[in-house]
Amino acid sequence: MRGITALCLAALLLLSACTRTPVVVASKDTVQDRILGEMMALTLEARGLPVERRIGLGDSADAFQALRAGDIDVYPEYSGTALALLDAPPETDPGVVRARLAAPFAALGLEFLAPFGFESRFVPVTRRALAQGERLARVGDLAPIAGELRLGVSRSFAERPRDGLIGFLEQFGLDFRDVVVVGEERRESLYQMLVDERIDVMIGFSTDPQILDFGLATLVVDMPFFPAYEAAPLTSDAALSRHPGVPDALAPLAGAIDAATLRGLVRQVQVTGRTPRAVAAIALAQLDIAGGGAATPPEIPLALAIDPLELGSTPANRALDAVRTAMPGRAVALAPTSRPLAALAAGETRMAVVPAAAHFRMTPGGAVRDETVEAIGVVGRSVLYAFAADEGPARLGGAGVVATGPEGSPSHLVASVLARHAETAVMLAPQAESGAAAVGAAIADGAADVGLVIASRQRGDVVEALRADPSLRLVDASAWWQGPARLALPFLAQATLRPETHPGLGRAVSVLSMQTVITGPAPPEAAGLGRQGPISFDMRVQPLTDTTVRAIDRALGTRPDVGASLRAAPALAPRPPEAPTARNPRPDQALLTMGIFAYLALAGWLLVRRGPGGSPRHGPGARSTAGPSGGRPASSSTPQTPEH
Amino acid sequence: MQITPVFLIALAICVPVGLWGVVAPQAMAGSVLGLTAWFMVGASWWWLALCSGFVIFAAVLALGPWGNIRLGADDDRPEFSTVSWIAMLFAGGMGAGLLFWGVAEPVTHFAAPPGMEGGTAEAARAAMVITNLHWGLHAWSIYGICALIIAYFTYRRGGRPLISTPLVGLIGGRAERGVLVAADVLGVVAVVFGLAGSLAMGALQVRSGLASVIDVPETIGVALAILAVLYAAYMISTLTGVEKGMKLLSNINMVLALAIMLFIMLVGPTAFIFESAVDTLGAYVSQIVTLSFRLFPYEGLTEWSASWTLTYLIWWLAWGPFVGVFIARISKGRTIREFCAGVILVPTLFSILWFAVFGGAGIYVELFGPGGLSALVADNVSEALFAFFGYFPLAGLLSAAALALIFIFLVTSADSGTFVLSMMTTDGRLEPPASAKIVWGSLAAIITAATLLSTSVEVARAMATLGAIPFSAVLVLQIVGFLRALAAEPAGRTPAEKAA
Repeated sequence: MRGITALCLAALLLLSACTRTPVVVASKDTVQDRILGEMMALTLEARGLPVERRIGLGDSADAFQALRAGDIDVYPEYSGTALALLDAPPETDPGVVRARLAAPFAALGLEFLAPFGFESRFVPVTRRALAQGERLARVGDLAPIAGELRLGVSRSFAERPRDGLIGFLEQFGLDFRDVVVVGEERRESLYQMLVDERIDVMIGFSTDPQILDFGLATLVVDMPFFPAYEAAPLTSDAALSRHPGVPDALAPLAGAIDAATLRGLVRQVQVTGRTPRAVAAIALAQLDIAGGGAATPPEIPLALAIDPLELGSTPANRALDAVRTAMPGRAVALAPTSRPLAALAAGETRMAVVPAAAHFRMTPGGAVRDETVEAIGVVGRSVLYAFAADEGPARLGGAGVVATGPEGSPSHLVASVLARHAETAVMLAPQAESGAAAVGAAIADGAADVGLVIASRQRGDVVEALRADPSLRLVDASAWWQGPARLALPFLAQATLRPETHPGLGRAVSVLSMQTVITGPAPPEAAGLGRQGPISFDMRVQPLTDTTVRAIDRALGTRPDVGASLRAAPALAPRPPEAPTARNPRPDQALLTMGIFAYLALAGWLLVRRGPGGSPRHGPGARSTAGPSGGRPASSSTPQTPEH
Repeated sequence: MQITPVFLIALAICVPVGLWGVVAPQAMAGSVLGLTAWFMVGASWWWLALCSGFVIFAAVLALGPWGNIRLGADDDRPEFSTVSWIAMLFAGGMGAGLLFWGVAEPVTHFAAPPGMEGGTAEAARAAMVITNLHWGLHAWSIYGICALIIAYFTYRRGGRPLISTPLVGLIGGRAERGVLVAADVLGVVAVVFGLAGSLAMGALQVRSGLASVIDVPETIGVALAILAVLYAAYMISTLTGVEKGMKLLSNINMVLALAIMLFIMLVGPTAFIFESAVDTLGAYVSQIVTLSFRLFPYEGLTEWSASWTLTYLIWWLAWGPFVGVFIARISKGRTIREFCAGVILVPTLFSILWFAVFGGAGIYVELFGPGGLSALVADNVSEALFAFFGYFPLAGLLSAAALALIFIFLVTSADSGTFVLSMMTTDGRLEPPASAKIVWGSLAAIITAATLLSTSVEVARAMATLGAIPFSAVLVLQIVGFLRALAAEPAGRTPAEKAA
């Protein structure tokens, strides 16, 4: 007996030792750090090590502190940042940086493992038009005009003691008119602000995909200020003694990720809206490091339909951002499709991001609003670009043939209305594809006098078309307001394009613009009960719930309300004060209630009366004498046995 | 075959409604929905009081002086052993609905509970309790009382297993015949439309399952094709009368369902599931009185109650005669007390466990796991179960097994439904003629097809509700007849005493 007890105890002790403490993997809260952190965590899990995740812990100081305190075991860090955190002067050579770190790290008990294979440096970024106009190539070129410019930085950059904002401004002698600081988790919004011309220069990472996507210009840092930031997992000696298998397990990641790869991964998260974990899993699968081992949840992203040409534009990113904020934990993706509202109606996507003109359809009676969709929020504005050749008409109304997108596209709709109200006969020439390239080609071929494109400001294809064909120019639309057509399309407003915003634009041009809205299906006229409850899953596309609409509205922040000419989601309407209801709002229900009680009284009477045939005196087993049609009488000794 | 007036009148009601649904689905949907809404919202208090009344009535019967009355002669003994009886009760009571709503309902209520904020721990607790309110004591009390009345009048009073049997002798005079026919007709209509609604829901779930397992597009054509296969399957099984085969299928089904439940229980968050089951049991027992009568008049949420709670309760009323016939068939010889305890308590406990496993694991995914399930469920309810399986290993196998399970459940339900309808329209014959089965089986399929074609399953719900509303009047009369018959039982009888 004693022996068995001892054996059991020993087994229990052995078992408890086998439940290992997990490796705590953390990361800073930028998108690329989250991706790296997830890749590290998934790689360790693929090797069989238990992992506890603290992804998105905080900024560099937070993570560094947590590692030193032993709260976390490993996180991705940049050698230059470590150098700066230790208050050492910058070195631009990565090898020198590592050498410089050796002694202080040994003293602190920290260690860099094998690097991932890329460097991510801070880069000053500005708009290409501004760089061209002011001939900005290096940071030093900013000094003379800094007083007219606004700088945008993230909070962690502002707070870095050594290689941060203050040092940057001092080193280069810059005195900006205004410095805008945004929280670290909203760092990507700086790019939107830059494109929106709310700031003029910003500090980004060299691995940000927006620099290429938005066609921005980077400035060369000509004086040594920023050290080399080589990315590698940072861990502590204490953690290594707890989990000696970690360096070996992370070895597959060494040198596996280059800057281009990382940019692509960040783009997948920011533009297509996947979660960092999913992106990391895909990357590891492609690198053949880890297959789909742990059960990752099904990534069925909520889709926002959008015109393919709009991918990467500010309104698209703002919409994506807002929906992701409104639905945390849900993968949201932009789904490029040539007819966004058709995809919405078919239920292929949950929402669509379209210009206001898409909410209208052309009928013989004129432009009629499509009541099957409703607007949920405004994410930006779309411009109605009217192109013409140099020798073409000067005004929108002077055109003979107008090239537009395909039939049913918003530009075709606007052109149809224009044609109706034009003083001369106007013919429409719908192209096979929408976009400035098709329309520009039609004008160049002479097939049309004017081409219409509805696009977000400075959209890539528009800028490209203007740049490629110098004889293409934008037509002035200021005469629009005198025409009757403006009543037919109430959602149009006037806008001015400044010369420096588009290539080939000599002077300011007046154009028309409209809201770009997130659109969802509208609730159909419903009779009776709501669409909840068992058996109530409708095969029609369901409108978004009020909660979601309000959450998206909140996430969009202070933006203009949806224009009155569009159908807005009912949840957006301000709630009017409730009028008091009548004393008896439904008299018919009173009648129904009386009917029910009358019936119950009848039933009660039937219960207690001395009945005609089935008197309560008769019991079972007795032959019923006065029973009318009904069951055969039964005797107690031979009960009926109904067959199965 | 002798054509009874019940047969003709029931046909005369069901066929035009079915045709109207095929020809002008939107018009029918509109008027039926409006009418149903008027009854449900206008008399919401009545429905809840009636169904809660069933629970109280069942408790009184079980605990009161009539508990010892045997369903049969006094010296009868139960036909089946207690264990097989309970197993057969499970088989009869488990249905495609448990699979469909097992994950979807708790997760839906967790995301949007009435009168409180969704996504919180409080919402989770409320979600589990609300779900069990819908599938627990109330459902089984309704089935139990319906079955009890049928069993009592069939075995103890020797009547035919018809809806109108308890009403015999109640009215008296020339009006009685009309009332009896009307009662039978209303029962038939209730069962037909309830069955059509459930088959439509099941077909759509099978379609979602196929889309998730083998990537079939979710179109109306596929739904109708599934219905066609279903029709062929259950007509064959009902016409060839392969009783043994049906019993075998039924047992396989039950084992498969239990296997899936055990898998999720053990592979999923086991401790959490059992904690949820125990917590829900306690919350349910302590809140059952409040919940049985709760209607949210002060919050202005009557529409939520009508959409969920009342719809379920009225749906169970429509299924009462159907499920009741089958429970009655296997319960000969039981005392009323045994019957109530077995039919009402045991399946309730099981369904608490079932929802704790599926709903609990779903809520775990939302609260502590990767999340994203409630958004998927809100997007497409019929996909909920298959999306849920996606969080577990062997998802494909689980989905395929669930798909087979649902299909077989649908076949057995439709088979039983056809049998009951044929029996009710041929004067209670226990071997209804094949022609009656063909007529009713096909009519149920047509109405289901009309429901699917109208692209609004709300029509099915509205029709089932509309069928059950007048049937509730019949139920009241049935209970009156039952009470009068019980009053005629001499009190204080022991099994040893025999009638003189």
